[in-house]
Amino acid sequence: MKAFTATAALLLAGCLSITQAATPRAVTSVDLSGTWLPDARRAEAWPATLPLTPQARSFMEEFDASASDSTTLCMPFGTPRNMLQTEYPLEIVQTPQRLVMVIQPNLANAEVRRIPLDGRELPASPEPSWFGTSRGHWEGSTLIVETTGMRDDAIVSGNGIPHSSQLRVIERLRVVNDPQRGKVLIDDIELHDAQAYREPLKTRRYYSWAPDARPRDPTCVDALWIDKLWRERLQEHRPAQPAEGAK
Amino acid sequence: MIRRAVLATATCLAGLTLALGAEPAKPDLSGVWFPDPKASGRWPTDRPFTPATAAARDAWTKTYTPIDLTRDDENTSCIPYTLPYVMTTITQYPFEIVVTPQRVYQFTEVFGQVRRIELGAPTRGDQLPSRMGSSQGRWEGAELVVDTTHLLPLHIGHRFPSSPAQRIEERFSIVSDAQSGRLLHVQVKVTDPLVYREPVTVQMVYKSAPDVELGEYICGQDLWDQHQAGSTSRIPWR
Repeated sequence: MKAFTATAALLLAGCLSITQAATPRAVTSVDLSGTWLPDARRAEAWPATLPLTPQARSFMEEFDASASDSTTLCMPFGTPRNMLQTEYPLEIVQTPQRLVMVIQPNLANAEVRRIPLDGRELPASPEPSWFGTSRGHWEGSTLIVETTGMRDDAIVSGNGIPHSSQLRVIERLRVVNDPQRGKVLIDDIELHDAQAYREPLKTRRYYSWAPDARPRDPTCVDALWIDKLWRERLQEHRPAQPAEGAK
Repeated sequence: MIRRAVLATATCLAGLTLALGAEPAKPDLSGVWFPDPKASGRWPTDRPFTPATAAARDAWTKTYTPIDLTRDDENTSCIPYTLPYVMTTITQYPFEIVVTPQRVYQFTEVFGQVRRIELGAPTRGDQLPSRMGSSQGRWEGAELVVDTTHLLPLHIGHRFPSSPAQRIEERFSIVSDAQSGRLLHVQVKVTDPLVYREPVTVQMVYKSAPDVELGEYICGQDLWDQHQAGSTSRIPWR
């Protein structure tokens, strides 16, 4: 019993010293975690005339989705198209040091954006990727996310707005309580890309709080696989057709 | 600051309660993990298929032999893994676990899959069969016990066929090893009375990899690159 009391006293003393030594940590001002459904009706449309550079305008005018839209082969949307689309939910997983955004479209991959919030800087030349390299920080109750390093063979929208590898995406995310709609997530998105745009493109997306929304399993690759491979495989096992004229 | 101090005190007092004989602390499963093929077990070589399953597999094999795995394996065709093989496939690819109060998330590098284990109330809404199924977790002492149902069945010719009745129990625990450091142990038990006469189990071991960040795994990248190379549409800034 003495040993038991001594152990408890030791633990209590340790606890008190830990409590006193508690130091400030990264602050997450607002809880963004949960599942959010994009509100397609409130998504801001692009201006009728986009401030594109001649190269970008030429690409967009000659745009052929079958050749240049990654999603036709179940490849990812990429960032920022995954945030501009209005069909699939956005799931946010938040810890004090990091935020993870998950979009699960009907494409091969879940699109996972990992956003450190611990103050580390963006690398000068991140390796090109579909989802980019992001950093986030809080300004009051707004989360600012900067993303660079996106592949230049991804596009911004289904009608062929292109971007170069110089693209820098700035997002400002905040939650408001709408008296009619409840909790709403607003994402103000700016696309900076001097090779593609004469001035930054700006738009806004609204998301409704949807705690019960669940992503569906993608079927895009299954369809491709069945179409391209199984059809051929099954053909081999189909009984031979009788020759023409044979009875 | 006061809130933080109160929180820290509460946390410590909780620890003290444990020392006095209450339930043990829940280990933190979060982090990046690599499968350890040497330490992990293997599925039984001869699976205890029911007579009906064994007969159906024999018939399927007879019809479709020879099987060309370079073409007839769905995973080589970019079809992602299904549980429990998300957990038991020994590859060089890591996965990451993120723990929140409501859920445990598992992000895999290979195929870029996401698994969600509910810790609170059971999943609401529809429960269509899926590759990750519907997972419910609960703590039993220092073990996270996860039950998974609603898994997409794998066809009779698959290396590991399954039925809609399949149920998987996993037991997650953290083991500190003097040589290997922090290890994640997961015992996987598959029960599927329409396919197996008795449950099938395997013990998996994963090494902690705190300095590793998961990369993008885009299975169809080569296909897309070939498609782009053969296209008349040119990326303007290349």
